[in-house]
This record gives sequence, structure tokens and C-alpha cells, in this order.
Amino acid sequence: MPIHVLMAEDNADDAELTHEALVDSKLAISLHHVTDGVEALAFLRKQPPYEKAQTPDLVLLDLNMPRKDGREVLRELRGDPALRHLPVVILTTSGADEDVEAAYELSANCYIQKPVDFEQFIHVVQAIEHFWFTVVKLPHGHPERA
Amino acid sequence: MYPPTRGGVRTAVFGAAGRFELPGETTFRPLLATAWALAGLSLAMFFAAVYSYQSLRGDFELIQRSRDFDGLRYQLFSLLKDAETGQRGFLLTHDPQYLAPYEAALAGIPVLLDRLSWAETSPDKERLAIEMRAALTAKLDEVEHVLKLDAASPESAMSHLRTGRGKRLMDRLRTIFEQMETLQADTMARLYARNARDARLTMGFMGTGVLLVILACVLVYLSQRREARIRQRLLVRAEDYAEELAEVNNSLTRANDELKIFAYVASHDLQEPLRSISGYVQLLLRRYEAQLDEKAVGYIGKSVAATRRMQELIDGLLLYTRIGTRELSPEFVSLNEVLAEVMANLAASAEKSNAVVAVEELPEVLGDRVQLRQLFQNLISNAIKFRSEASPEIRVSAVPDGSSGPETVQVRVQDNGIGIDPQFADRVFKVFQRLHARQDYPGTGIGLAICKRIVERHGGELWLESEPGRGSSFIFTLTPYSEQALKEAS
Repeated sequence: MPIHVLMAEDNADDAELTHEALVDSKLAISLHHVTDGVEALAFLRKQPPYEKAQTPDLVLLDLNMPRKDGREVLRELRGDPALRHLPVVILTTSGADEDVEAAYELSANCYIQKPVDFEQFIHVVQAIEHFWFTVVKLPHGHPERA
Repeated sequence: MYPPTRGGVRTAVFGAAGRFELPGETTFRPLLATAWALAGLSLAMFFAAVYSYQSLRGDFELIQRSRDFDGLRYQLFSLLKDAETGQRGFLLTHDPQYLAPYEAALAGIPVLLDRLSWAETSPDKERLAIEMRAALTAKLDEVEHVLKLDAASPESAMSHLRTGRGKRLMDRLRTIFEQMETLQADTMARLYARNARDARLTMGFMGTGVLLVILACVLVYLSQRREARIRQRLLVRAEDYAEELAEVNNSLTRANDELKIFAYVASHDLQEPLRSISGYVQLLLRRYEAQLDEKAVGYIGKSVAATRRMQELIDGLLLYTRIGTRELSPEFVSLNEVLAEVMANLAASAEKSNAVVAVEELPEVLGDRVQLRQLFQNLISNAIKFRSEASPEIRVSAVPDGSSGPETVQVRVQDNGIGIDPQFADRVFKVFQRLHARQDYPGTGIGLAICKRIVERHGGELWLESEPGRGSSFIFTLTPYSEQALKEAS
């Protein structure tokens, strides 16, 4: 059974590079990419055009996106009984203390600043992968949805 | 961009504050002073008017008395003439009816004489009155004498009459009477003249007084209008300044907000393309290294190094901007604790260069812990980086500072490194200014600029003492911690 990851990222390059970093993975990871917060929520709630979307095992969330930014997505997600269990990793360029604080305030599971260096970026992505899909135990679906 | 903007705005504030000393607010008001002087003068005028009015009233009294005098004189004379005529008639007819005027004169004359003495207004008149009184008495006595003689023998009365004594007495009276008339005319003329003069003076004084009062009132009015105008002007100006100040404040807030936005944009948007470049170039190497020659691999290596460097510059600039824009959170900070944290951070590089860092007893200060840590970290890592041949010896010490006020401490970070030529002393504190090639001493050239900004944000000063080849000392001032200093800061 493949691992599903939803990536909300408006920057196509970043999305591609993340994808490239995951390519070498030994795990079967299915990466779904949306480009803003509205789409991300639609995906998670299986609203059109994502009626057939899989509920992901992990969400990689960028903070600064058009239409609806990562903070709002996180807030709605944490306020939604069907989605609040989802592990959310904030993956963003911002290293500002305010953003870090705000993210944890909204119950992000972790906050990672994207390194500029690609080698380091690969390490980060691999670390996420290793930690979330090998080390930790994730909930398998939600009781309400089961 | 940031510092000149702030400088410009600050000049505007000082300019406005400079003009706050208003020249219109004088305590001496010349118009009002003149009005007071005029009021005083008009008071004097009124006193003079009262005085001359009293003199005028005196004149009227004198004139009245003079007129009375004149009237009495006529009455006396006519009584006397009546008496003499009566006497003559009686002597001729011996009809007692003729004696009535004589008896009327006898009764009336003393009364009139009494009144005459009140009407005397000058020594001349008094003298004439005395003469007249004497002459009158003599004449009346003469008439009485003749009447007595006649009662005894009409003959003897006749012969007495013939002596002419009665006529002489009458003539004398007439002379006195005429003298009186002349004197009266003179007196009246003199009194009228004086009266006219007093009247003129009274009117003059009164008129001038009233005029002065009016003038004073006008001046008071003008003075008050002038003051009202000045007050109005001051009010308008104060409002202008308040507006100006609000505007400056607004533009400062706006500038600050824009800077915060800029800092954020720099951290996010500026780094995205950079990460793309770096990412794709490294991906190129990762995926296609086998198909590339050595040169191409070298180019890729240089591109990656350049993007790393660009990243460092952006990070440095960001840090520098954040220090300028972020709110300080002043609190109790033990510098010895800060130094311990910094030394833990720098342990690896200190060990690598055999650096010895001696930290003396440091004070407790009021400041932002994060920024102060940054300050010491930059200074000490600089001291390690810019070492000479000898292994680095760094000494951190503090003394109370008297030069920048009693409420400061002076902290000194001293090294035995390569030192800085004094002619570059100002340059090292500027953003991205370097004194050495990057190959010799790596870094962006922003560390000391950040240090200076941190110290200045804490209200202190940072400067440099150095001897090239023998080492440098960076010295800065901070505020010692006290409850009061904390209260003032927050």
C-alpha cells in the first residue's frame, strides 16, 4: 500500500525539486501536489475536482500561498474533526520567529525551513520521510471515517 | 535605503521641534503699557479739572458777592438820599409825614451795613466800606443834630444848615460811592476774566481727560486684539505642528511597516529563485554527472558556491534589518550568562584555533537577551577569525563608565589579532564593508554593522581601539540593570 503525501506548494520549482528528492526513496510514496490553500482543503475534503482523492498520510504545507495561505489551511484543518488528526509538516522558506511561533500555535506537527542548498534539501526531505514513515506510528484512517 | 530615510525624517522632527520656540509670546506689551500711562495721565487731568472747577465755583461766589456789594451800595445811597430829602421837607413844612423816609433809613441802614461787610471781597472794598460806614454815620448824626436843633428853634437849625456841613458830608459820600463804582467795575472785569479762564481750564482738563480715557480704551482694545491674534496664530501654529508631528509619525510607522514587509519579502520571495537555481544545478550534477566533463562539474561547483554566498548575504541583510525593526524586549540580562552561552556556541571554532577566552566578572544589564548574545557572538567570533600568528587570546571585561553618564557600563572585548588600521575604523562598522579578501577571511562583512546596530538600539555606543599587528579592542556602553531603568524602558 503506497504512502500518500499531499504537498501544498505554489512554487513549481520547489514542488519539482521535492519530487526529485523523493524519487530516490525506497518507500512507495505517492506525492499529490496542489498549488494553493483552497485546493489543498478541497483535496482533503474530497470536494470537486478531488472526489476520488486519497486521504493523505502526511501534509507538507507551505505558508505563503495565493488565495488561502498555509496558516488559514492549518487553522481550518485543526478545526475540522475529520481532518484534525492529520500530521502536518510546515515546509517553508520563511525563518521568521513570528511564522514559527504562529505555526506551532496552530498545532503544526513540525516546522522546517527549506534550505537553499539542494544537498541539504535532499537531507531534509529524506529526514521527513524517514521520521514520519519509518520511525513514527501514524493513525490508519479516522474512527469517524472508518 | 533605511538609514537615510530615517535620517531625513528625524531632521524634519528636529526642524519642527526647533521652531517650537515661539517669538510672539512676549511678556512686555507696549500697547498696554502706553494705555496704562494714558490712564494715569487722564486721572491727573481729572484732578486738575476738579481743582479748576472748585476755583470756578469760587469765582462765581466772588462775583455774586461783588454784585451784592454793588446792590447794597445803591440801596444805602438811595436810603440816605431819601432821608435827606425827607429832612428837607420836614424842615420846610414841619409835617411829621416827611420824617418817614428818615426813620426808614435809620432802621434800614444798619441792616444793610451788616450785609455789606459780608459782601466785601477785597481790602480796597473793605477800606471804602469803612469810610462809607463812617461817612454814613456822620451824615445820619448830622441829620439827627439838625432835627434836634429844629425842635428847639427852627432858626438855629437853619443857621446850622447854612454852614454847609450837611452838603459836605453828602459830597464825601458821593465821592466814596463813585470810587466804589470804579472799583466795582475793575473787580467785575477781573472776576469775569478769571472766571472765563477757570471755565476754559476746567473744560480743557475735562476734555483732555476724556480724550485720554478714550485713547487708553482704544489702546487696550488694540492690545487685546493683537494678543488675540497672536494667540490665534500660536494656536494655528500649534495645530500645524501637531499635524506635522502626526504626519511624521505616520510616515515613520509606514516606513517601519514597509521595512518589515521588505524583510519578509526578502526572506521568502528573494530566496525562492535562489533555491531553484541551486536546486536545479545540483540536480544536474546528481543526475547527469556521468555525462559531464571535469570542467562542467567545476562550473556547477562554482554556481553552487555562488548561490550559497548569495544566501549568506541575504541572511545577513535580513538579520541586520530585523535588528532595526523588531521591538526590543528589555529585560534583566546577566552578561556572564550570555558569555557562557556564546562560548558554548563557539566552542568548536575556539578549540580549532587554540583560542583562550578570559571572561572577567561582568555586570547585569538591561537589554534584549537575543540581541546581546548576537553582539558577543559576532565580536568573539571576529576575534577568533582575525587572529595573528599567535594563538588568539581574548579578554572580556567591564568597568563603570563615567563618560557617557553615570548610568552606563563600558564593556571591552580585547584580542591579540591582526588589528585594524585606524583609518578604516569607521568603515568596518558599515554594511558589507570588508578590509580583506574573502579568500583570506571568509564572511559577508555585516557582522560589525549588526553589532553597532544592536548597541545603538540599546542606547549605547560602540567604538574601536586598535594597533595594527598587536590587536584590537571593541568597546561599547550598556545600561546596568535596575528596576527604575526597566520601568523607564518599558
